[in-house]
Amino acid sequence: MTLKDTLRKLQEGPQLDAQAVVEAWQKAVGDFLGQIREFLKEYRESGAILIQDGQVQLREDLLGGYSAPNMALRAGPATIRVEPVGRVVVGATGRVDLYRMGRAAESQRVIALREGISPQGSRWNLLIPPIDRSFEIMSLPALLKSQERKQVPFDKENLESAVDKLLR
Amino acid sequence: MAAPVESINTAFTRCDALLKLVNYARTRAFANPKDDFSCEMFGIAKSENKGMALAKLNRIFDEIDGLIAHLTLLDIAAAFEKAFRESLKNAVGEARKIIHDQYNIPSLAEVREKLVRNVDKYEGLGTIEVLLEGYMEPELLKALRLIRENRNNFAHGTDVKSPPTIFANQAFAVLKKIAEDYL
Repeated sequence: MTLKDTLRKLQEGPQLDAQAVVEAWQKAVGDFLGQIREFLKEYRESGAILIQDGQVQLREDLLGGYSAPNMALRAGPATIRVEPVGRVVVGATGRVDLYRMGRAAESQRVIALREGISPQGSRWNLLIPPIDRSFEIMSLPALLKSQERKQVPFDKENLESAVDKLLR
Repeated sequence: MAAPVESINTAFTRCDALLKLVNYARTRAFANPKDDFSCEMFGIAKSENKGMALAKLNRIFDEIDGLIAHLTLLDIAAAFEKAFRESLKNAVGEARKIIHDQYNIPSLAEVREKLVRNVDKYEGLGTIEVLLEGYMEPELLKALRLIRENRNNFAHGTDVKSPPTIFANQAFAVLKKIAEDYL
């Protein structure tokens, strides 16, 4: 086989359409933020939570640079940031983090992981951080155990519970 | 030489200790954002109102949290690379000895040990990836790539508030597994 044949064979194989992946990911994040808005409607309408939309610039080696929507939830003096982290992550098809400003440690974040790539809409799960055990000196096995998160589906009840946990 | 897995464990636990120290400071500072401790540690002016002091602390701790997340990856990746390099160097030494002792061919006599020299270069995550590609499970390889990308991006100017796209404990588990299986 010549180099020409090899190159042709490679070009016939599956190609990564980075732009399409990014567009689908941007839409998925937008839909996710829209669902948050919907789930928190009663709190928005009562003025207990103010929502501020924004954009963030992201860069991933496989996809290049792109922008994605983000959101801030303001409740009194506290602000929860809802920030897309990346499309290419381990074990999921995208990740968005929710964290209270001033408490951005990985162990304190609620992590939303996207499942599948259906154009009809993505399914999301929330990984709820464990009880904070920052002040305990632990052996390595105990430390790893202490970082285990609870996974729950993204719905109104679980989002409310996650937001409550972040605000406490 | 510490066992490879032990080096990675040590790096991971020291980063956790660093995070705990920060959490002590965080708890103390947010409880009294304008006391001597907060003002001295975090540059808050006594004349600042409490709201501004809290906003400043939020920003500072978000950046420190981001920094620690990236440092954790950096540290465990560096521990892994060092362990990998040390393990490999033994093999390079053996290979060179064999070439020196058993392949006493006149041609290239001066440089024949260089035949294995390129193995020395398998010391960074990128070249380790190349070496293990095809042997490792695809998910493990993907995770190793993410660790490398995040480490490189951080070294070359990532916004410290953007977290790594791989969790520290995932990265830890991946590097530990590779160390256990291949070193």
